[in-house]
Amino acid sequence: MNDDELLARLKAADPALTRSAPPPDIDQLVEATLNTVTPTAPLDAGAPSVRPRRHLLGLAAAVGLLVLGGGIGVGVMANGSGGGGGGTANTGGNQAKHSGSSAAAGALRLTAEGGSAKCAAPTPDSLRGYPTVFLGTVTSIKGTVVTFRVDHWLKGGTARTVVLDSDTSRPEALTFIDGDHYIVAAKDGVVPVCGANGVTADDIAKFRKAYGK
Amino acid sequence: MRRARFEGLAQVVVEPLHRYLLRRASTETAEDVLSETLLVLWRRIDDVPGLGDGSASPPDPDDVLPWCYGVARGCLANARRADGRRLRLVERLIRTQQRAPEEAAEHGELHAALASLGAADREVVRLWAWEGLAPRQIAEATGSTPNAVSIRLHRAKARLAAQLGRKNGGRPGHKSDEGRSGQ
Repeated sequence: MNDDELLARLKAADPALTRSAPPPDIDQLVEATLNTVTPTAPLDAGAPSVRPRRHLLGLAAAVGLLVLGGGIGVGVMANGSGGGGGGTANTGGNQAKHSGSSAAAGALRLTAEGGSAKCAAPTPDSLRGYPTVFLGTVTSIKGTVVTFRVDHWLKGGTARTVVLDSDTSRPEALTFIDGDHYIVAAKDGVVPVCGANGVTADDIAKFRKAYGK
Repeated sequence: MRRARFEGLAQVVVEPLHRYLLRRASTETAEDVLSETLLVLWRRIDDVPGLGDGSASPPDPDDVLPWCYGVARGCLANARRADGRRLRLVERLIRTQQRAPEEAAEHGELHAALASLGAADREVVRLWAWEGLAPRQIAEATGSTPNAVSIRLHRAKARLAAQLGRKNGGRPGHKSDEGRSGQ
């Protein structure tokens, strides 16, 4: 088999030709890239229903930045109708890549990095030292990006949505489950070891009481 | 202007990038990674070689594509890592289902032969055959040197041909040393 024959055989088996995927909409992709602001999910009223289940998980060696608060642009962002590519606040790292899918206006963005650890159940006392603490429900998981709807701020925040970007070499350790409830603590935008834990309805009541929220 | 440059670039590279990703991932993953790749290209628009200042006509695909393939390659690797084992398994199942009818029947042998190559060899062969890149461009996309790519490509093609020849039952013993040519 010479080069030409090999090339012909390879080309005949080209998956891009044999698979029937719709062609990409270039204009729409460009628009989505330049305009990454999406509406915030509405904040549910009332206490969330909770399954009697607890997930303990840890985010080890967290390194990150509190990237966004109060409507400041993050990642790749531009106003599609107006400024025409003006806003390009660059956060560095991989965060910008994810901003299109889940970043919401006014969302708090946290980054976590690292693996897993066995964590003791969090208590109001054990989380006392963190300036940022909230009870939230996972609304979407996309790759390494987990979006929380904030059910109750216990400390230090007002955003309705928190986006946790785990830019990590071991993301499989971050086992969040869509629709489950978590308590998340952060300091300087860092979600530390054992900083995110699954909570039950009892836990939620306990924490809310302890923080007076 | 950044926006105009990006739009010009997108017109040229989006479809080839989409095909690049379709050849290496499920349809769904390809779409996700394409979006991510575009975000990176937008962020790094000043780094794209051969793009110029954007005031002129659209960029030449031969100039910009290899570098963009490299970006897509990195994004795909990121996505694969990020999805973790669990999702990879799911994707594998989905892909098996999707490809089973057409590819397994008609081109199963070729895909099996490709799969028998090392990852680096396979990527070089695919970039040569499917993306139609020259060794110099493959080097740019994979972060290698043209010389190393030429050698790797030469060996990988020989191994692939030998593999296919063997499967066809033709010319036993022919090129029997190819199996040893290392990476």
